[in-house]
Amino acid sequence: MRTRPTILCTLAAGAAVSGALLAGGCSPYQPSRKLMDEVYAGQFANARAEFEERAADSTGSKDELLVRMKAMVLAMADGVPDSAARDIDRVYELLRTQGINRDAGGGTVLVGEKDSRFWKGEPFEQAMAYHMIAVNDALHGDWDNARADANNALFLLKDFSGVTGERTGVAAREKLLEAAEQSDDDGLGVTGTDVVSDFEPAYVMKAIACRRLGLANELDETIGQLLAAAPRLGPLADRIRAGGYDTVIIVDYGMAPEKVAAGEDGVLVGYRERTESDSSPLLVTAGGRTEAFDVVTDLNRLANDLKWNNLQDVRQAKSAIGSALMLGGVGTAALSDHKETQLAGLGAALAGALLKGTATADTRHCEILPQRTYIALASIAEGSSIELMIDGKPGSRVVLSPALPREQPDTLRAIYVRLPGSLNAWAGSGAVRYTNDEVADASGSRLPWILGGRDVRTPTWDVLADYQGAGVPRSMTLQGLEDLYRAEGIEIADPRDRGQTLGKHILEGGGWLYTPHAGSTGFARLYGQDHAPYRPKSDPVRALAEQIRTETEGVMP
Amino acid sequence: MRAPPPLVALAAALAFSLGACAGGPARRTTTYTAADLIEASHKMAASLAASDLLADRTADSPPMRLGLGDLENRSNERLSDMDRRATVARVLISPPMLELLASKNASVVLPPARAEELQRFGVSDAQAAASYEEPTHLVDATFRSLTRTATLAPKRDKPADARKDYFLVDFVIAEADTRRAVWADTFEFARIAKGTLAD
Repeated sequence: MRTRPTILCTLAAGAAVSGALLAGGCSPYQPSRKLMDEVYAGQFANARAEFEERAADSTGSKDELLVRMKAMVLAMADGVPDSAARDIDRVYELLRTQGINRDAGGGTVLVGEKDSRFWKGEPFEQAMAYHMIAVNDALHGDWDNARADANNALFLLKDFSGVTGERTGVAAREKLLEAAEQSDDDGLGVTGTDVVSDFEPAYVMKAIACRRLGLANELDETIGQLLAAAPRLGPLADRIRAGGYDTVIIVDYGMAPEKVAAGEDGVLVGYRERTESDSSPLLVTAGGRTEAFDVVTDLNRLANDLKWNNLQDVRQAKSAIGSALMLGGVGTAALSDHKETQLAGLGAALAGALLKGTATADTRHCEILPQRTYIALASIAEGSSIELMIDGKPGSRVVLSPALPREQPDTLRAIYVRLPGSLNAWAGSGAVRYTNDEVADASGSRLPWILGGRDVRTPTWDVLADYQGAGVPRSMTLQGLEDLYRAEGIEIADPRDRGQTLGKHILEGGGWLYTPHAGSTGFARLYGQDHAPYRPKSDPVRALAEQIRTETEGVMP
Repeated sequence: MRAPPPLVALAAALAFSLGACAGGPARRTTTYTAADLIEASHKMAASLAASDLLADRTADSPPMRLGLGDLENRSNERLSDMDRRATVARVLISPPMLELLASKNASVVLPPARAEELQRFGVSDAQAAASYEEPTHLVDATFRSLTRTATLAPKRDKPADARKDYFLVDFVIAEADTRRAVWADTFEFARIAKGTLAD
């Protein structure tokens, strides 16, 4: 019976190949180049609309947190964080839900990380997500919650440098894997040391919030922790404690490092810089005065530091090695009855092939997180614009319009800016070329854009009165004005509905009318450049636009 | 004839693969349970009943109207304004509290818009909004984190598998016009979360 095992092994080989292909069907993570290019250029609108739509359909999927986190990052960068309010709430909920992957078990080994585990992000990605939620709450003046969010970003970390001798890079992971293989424990089997977090932005945000809330003891404690984690941020700590600022400017720049499969057979995780690290300060100019602020955190540093990784790749690699040995042993045992020892190696190889295909490191990551974060404190006089630029990087320059949001005169205002990486005329113009809900009279035009003017305010009775003064018939009602937008298929944002998902703005070819936060990159991009005149689609709007044009010809400025 | 083990192993692997590709994550919620709120309501009713504020009041005393005051979050948990209002309102309009207040000619009042908003979140008391008058007293609440206890798993690198978060809520009732505190007490809410911290 020499032929039987050979046939079986042939079948097994086929099954193994099919299995590997099947596993391969759950393909490796591909970061989106297009998405990253758009974010780098400050063009968030298309991606935001896409990810907000995808986020709505992501519930329960293994990438839900990743998709919603991207929707959050994009909405905040585009100046419409409320558009992702549901995503932000869900990101928080998912981050706080522990044990999500508790039941992933052996499927992780046999299918691959990406397809069996819910994406929870590496610890540094989780900390960044909490930090961004803190920023979002600060944008809304909710410093209570900003403090709580920042606190959540300061979880304990596990340091294995006592085992590996070094803290960063693939070499450290390889050493950790070697040490882990010595243990029979089904976990990592290596003891690390609990260490406090050195996630600087959370300490900074928490300290600012504590000062705002009058929590003196907690402020002292937090400042102490910040200085212990990052003595270089002493001047910022002093500034936080001293007060005398009314605006917190949170600035992100660059692209987070790429997570790649590394080591032998790509079973370990490595990181490749997309934006190089450097210590160039952020220059903040307001009221003719320029101040420099140091980098608060650098994601290249965090990503490469073992303590900021969950080391699931090392666990997975250890488990895969163990499973490969086990299956190889099964193959050997099955064949040895027939003395087909020459096939034993094939049995092990087949099992190994299947596992090799699936033990590849899970490289899912949030590619649109920034490379670095700055937090600046300033006192901004009413009507003053703010210029932001990273020293030596002219492409990062953004001028924010003077119309910065402030709910009440004595409140601490927060603004969030995602700096572009490439030169944009709109970013540096500081101009507001269209009248909007934040800057009335910006354009000198009091006619709606859809009727030939440069006003893109959301309709109210006051807005209608302005329009009527500029040529819109006096008989027009607010309902009539809203009906014109409806006839064009344009949706008007409801300011009372926080959480309403907003699509692209009409100025950028979308179907929504709203105003982003004045202190945002989205605002600068939307109103800081000219857009092609509106082309009406419906008969009523076309006719009214023509009527107004005829009646006001020679009168309009 | 004996089944060929390599095929069995690979078939099992494939079946496992297919199973693992499908389906979402196992969820473990970390929110308050209704039981926590009910327990706090009973404790608050008992504390108020025994307090100087209500002890001498009867059904014939001048009306006392309790409204929502400042609700601050000093916990380590993100709590929306709505979460805070709903938590306090749930305690205030719970059966033991309403029964106590009615016997002392006291009531909970909510502006109609706020009552409607709370109703959307399943917190409703028709009386609280029906005949709204300005509150005579305001209920302030400060949410605080207390402690976290964890059940340590036996494995060295699995720090915790189950934990319980305790929240304290400091309640203060103050006169609406003077803001003078007339009653204060603290109640505990427990919350259970499961799963390893690394996940």
